[in-house]
Amino acid sequence: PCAVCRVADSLWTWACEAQHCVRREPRGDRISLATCRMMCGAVPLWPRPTGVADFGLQSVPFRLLVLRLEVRSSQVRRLLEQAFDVFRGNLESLVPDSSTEDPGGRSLSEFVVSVEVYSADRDPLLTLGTNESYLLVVRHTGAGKLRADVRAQTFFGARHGLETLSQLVWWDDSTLRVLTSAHIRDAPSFPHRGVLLDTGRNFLPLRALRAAVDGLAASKLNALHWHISDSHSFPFDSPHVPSMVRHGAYSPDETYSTRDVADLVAYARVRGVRILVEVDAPAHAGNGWQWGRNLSLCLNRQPWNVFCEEPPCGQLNPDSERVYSVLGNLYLDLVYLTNVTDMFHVGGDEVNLHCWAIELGGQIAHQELMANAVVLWSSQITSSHYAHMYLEPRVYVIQTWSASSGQELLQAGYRVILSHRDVWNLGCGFGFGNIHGACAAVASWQTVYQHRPWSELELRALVLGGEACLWGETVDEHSLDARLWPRASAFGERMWTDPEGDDLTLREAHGRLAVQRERLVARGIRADALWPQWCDQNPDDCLEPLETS
Amino acid sequence: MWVCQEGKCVKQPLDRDMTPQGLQACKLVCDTYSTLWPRPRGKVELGRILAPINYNSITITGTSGDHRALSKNVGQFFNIAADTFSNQLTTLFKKREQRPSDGKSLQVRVTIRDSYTRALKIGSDESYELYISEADTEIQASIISTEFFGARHGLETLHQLITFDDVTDSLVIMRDVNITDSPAFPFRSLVLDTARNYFSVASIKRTIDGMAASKLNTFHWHLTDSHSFPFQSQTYPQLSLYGAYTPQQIYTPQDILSVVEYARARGIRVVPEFDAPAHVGEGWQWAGPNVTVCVNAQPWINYCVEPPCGQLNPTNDTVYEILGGIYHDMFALFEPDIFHMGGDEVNFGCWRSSPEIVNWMTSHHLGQTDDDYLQLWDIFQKRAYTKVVEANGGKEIPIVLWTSHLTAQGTVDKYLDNKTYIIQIWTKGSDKVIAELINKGFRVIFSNYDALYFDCGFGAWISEGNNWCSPYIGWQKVYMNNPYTMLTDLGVDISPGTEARELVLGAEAALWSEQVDESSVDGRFWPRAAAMAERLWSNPDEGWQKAEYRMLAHRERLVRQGIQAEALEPQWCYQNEGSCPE
Repeated sequence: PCAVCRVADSLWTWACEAQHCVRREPRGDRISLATCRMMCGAVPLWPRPTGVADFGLQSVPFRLLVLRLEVRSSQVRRLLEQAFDVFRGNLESLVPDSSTEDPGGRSLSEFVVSVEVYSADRDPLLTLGTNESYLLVVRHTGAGKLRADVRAQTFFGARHGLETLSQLVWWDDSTLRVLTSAHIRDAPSFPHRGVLLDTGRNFLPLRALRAAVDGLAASKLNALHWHISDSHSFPFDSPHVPSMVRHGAYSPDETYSTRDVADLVAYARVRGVRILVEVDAPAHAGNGWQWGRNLSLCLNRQPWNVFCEEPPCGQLNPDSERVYSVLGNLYLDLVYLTNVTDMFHVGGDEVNLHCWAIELGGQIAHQELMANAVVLWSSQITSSHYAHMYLEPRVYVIQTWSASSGQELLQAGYRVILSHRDVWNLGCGFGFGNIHGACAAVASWQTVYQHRPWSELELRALVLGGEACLWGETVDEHSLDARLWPRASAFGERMWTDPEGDDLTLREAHGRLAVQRERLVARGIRADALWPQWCDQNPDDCLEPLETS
Repeated sequence: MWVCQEGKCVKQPLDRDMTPQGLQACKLVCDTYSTLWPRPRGKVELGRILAPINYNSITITGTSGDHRALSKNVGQFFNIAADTFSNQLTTLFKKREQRPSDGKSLQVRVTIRDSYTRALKIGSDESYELYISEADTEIQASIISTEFFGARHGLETLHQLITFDDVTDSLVIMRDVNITDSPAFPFRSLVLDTARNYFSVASIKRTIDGMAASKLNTFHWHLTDSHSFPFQSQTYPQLSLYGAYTPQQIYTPQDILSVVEYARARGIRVVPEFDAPAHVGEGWQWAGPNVTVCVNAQPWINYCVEPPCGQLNPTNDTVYEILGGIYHDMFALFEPDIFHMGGDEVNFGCWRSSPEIVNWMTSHHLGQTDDDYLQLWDIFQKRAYTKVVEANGGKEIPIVLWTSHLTAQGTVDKYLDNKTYIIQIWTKGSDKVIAELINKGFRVIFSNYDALYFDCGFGAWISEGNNWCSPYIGWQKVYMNNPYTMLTDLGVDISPGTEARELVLGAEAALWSEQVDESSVDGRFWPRAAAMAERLWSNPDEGWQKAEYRMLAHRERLVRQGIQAEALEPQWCYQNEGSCPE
């Protein structure tokens, strides 16, 4: 009955006018929106490179099967092969389910990705000192032959180079296409670029954590801060302290075995991400500790608002020697499983003085681990009045979660990780306690992106980086993707590129982030939409009119 | 194991002296209204004893009032409802090998007195009675209703009285049940905007699943807007050819029919909206000059509330010809009992920007004031309505319009007739115009944005900060959004028996899709839409606090049925009832 049911090709074509793609009715050859966006104006890389980025104006179609990896550094061959598989999978995800590749004539006969890592380290681990820079050069090496050279000091830099290369490839209606010439030098602005997930309030299955790592990798974020337990539940099945999970998991199905943790660590490493597990203490520790007498105090006490910030209450007993030995054992398990040795998060937030008086802190973590960065949440103990009495600046890094800047801490010589909750708490605004004050509103991606506290801070060198925090009160695996993305992507560019905070920069970011959001969706992450699809197709017509002065 | 103490399930270590019970089973017997959502409004007698049933031995039969077979039409829907019921039971156990075969068989007998009516309309009887009793060898459940819709609701309730007890590994049903139930409001609706962003048919059907699980009965489909035209018209296929985002992102006649039938079988009507004369643009490019005006005009802020701008030209005859075709195609597919003509956010600046319209106004002795343009709008509405009636085979049909300048204080009865027009309120619940609408005899639907706009609270997509209707609306606020209370606060007497009370058809939660597409649609609607569903079905006197644990249980049920609903609280609160007061 229907004369023009589903037609394959769009009516519209896109033309590049004054560095912008403009929709037109076709005359002659059609140019797809995807192709126009790659060839017109800034190449939509996310995050934007910090160094040189030159591109040619040509592109070429190719089939996945012409892709080949050339490993020039055998010391990390296995890791590079795995990273290449991820890269290849990312390209594959661009091909719609309903389509098959049809590149037509003049497609590539060979597409070699050559990777060289200079460091001789055979078992590289990401640390605060890791060099994550890379060089990426794409060029023709003859008719129908394309070569991409990735050069980096470390495996992690090389991985970022492959991520960038994947973003030079797009789906053009019937075929994959790649830019034929690129020269990019790139390195991050901060060494610690993290996202916090909370599996203590609501459990997140491993597949959800893996998907989060995929998203981190796509935006060159490099740390998943895993707030694994809270007073609510203790899902980690510790080999040294098996009683914890038996008493603390929501159900026997909602736990993390050592295998789960190790798998996630390996999965993340290939994607340039390290897993930083936090067993919060001495507050935020309750369910899971019932197995021993008086290990956790005020456990599930009511009325909760006298004893803690949110139900259920629970704080460790600083007088109990057993508490310290249990913590020590948990820490040993975690260090062994995560291979993170230069940094350790001991929690330390929201200690309630009605439950017991200050102390404990993370001396124990320092003694056990000899980490040179023990991370502690900002709290009373980190306030200017107490900090120097208890915390050695060479050892302790303070993660600030209040809305204030952190300038005092920097002046006192502490290194900081910034997580200002009025902008970088992605859990805010959705109810359940998060309805007042600094945490009343949902931070939009623009708000997340525009926040640049160090522009006003002295001693910027002591800022190790930042974390966007997704506390778990009102999120579990079902809406995790949409809570995180694309807002955490916006955060990723803030941390990697640290672009200027002006309106023009923000304006420019809209279209690029929209492309990045499409990449995430293609990779199976159910990210929130940024704007009507009409704005993708008419990018310059959607924003507030520019003020002309 | 969990023990029911004072209406709350309390976690306890396994105790050999007690019959153990898992959390699900405890929740089923513990709350006054079990885990029913929405809670029944009539008689609710629950035995609070659970009987194991054999999953492999469940039979469902349906007959008409005189014990004959159901008509073919209703029988087809009944079979879908029965299949849905069985499929929902399988979602209760995680692994196939858990399928419990201990316990008695379950006989479900459904009687539908009117076995012919298959499409919902205002005035349809959605009531049902449900009885569950235990006989020697079987559990007997019987559902009696006047029309199919009630029977379907009854099956939904029956499903909610069955759970899998993971402590005893058995499928259990509540015994000795006697429920009579019917909705407080006849119109219980969601609107989805598929024009700002496209939503696949699969995601629309998933939304309809959630509605059925919550006894909502109307899916209002905002099909088109100035942004895109995904509706494939058979009369004017150019509309979606030009107006769809991509050739794949359209709704073909087959797509529409499949959604409409899918919804009907779940007791849900689909109300199509063709928004006009504003919110029109993409798709009309082929129609020639001056059919639409100010399309994609910049700076947009002068011509519309959000980009892209565009409005129909009411002075151009071609407009009505094309509208007639669109209406015709929509009526053929949707067979609606109510039609939505949009009618919101007309911008007179847009019309004023067209020399053709300005000249027409002059030659028809109209000036350039807002009042003059209101008359132009009125002319449009009346001409467009005659096209709707034509499309409906010459029969009048109730029309829904959004509140607007046309329905403003002192204006509404000047232009619109209360027999035809139903007014959908999208301003705040405290807007005085609501009282005026009721006093002037208009039927109303509440979509007051301060409680029912589910897109609120996210970023302002075209600038910094949060969107215009922030903050995000929590489920509690949705739950407490009572149309009668709002009217009482506005000084309207809505006591039972008054005409005013009859004029309140119900409410509709809106999801405008500037910042959502199918990737996150589930989380935006659910479980908040279910909070509205209980308000409209049960209209309880009590506050949300009494409903909290049932709400959490219903959210888990939605998730089990494949809907990616948002979490409301830490799981600890679900397992420790009464310990997490806000």
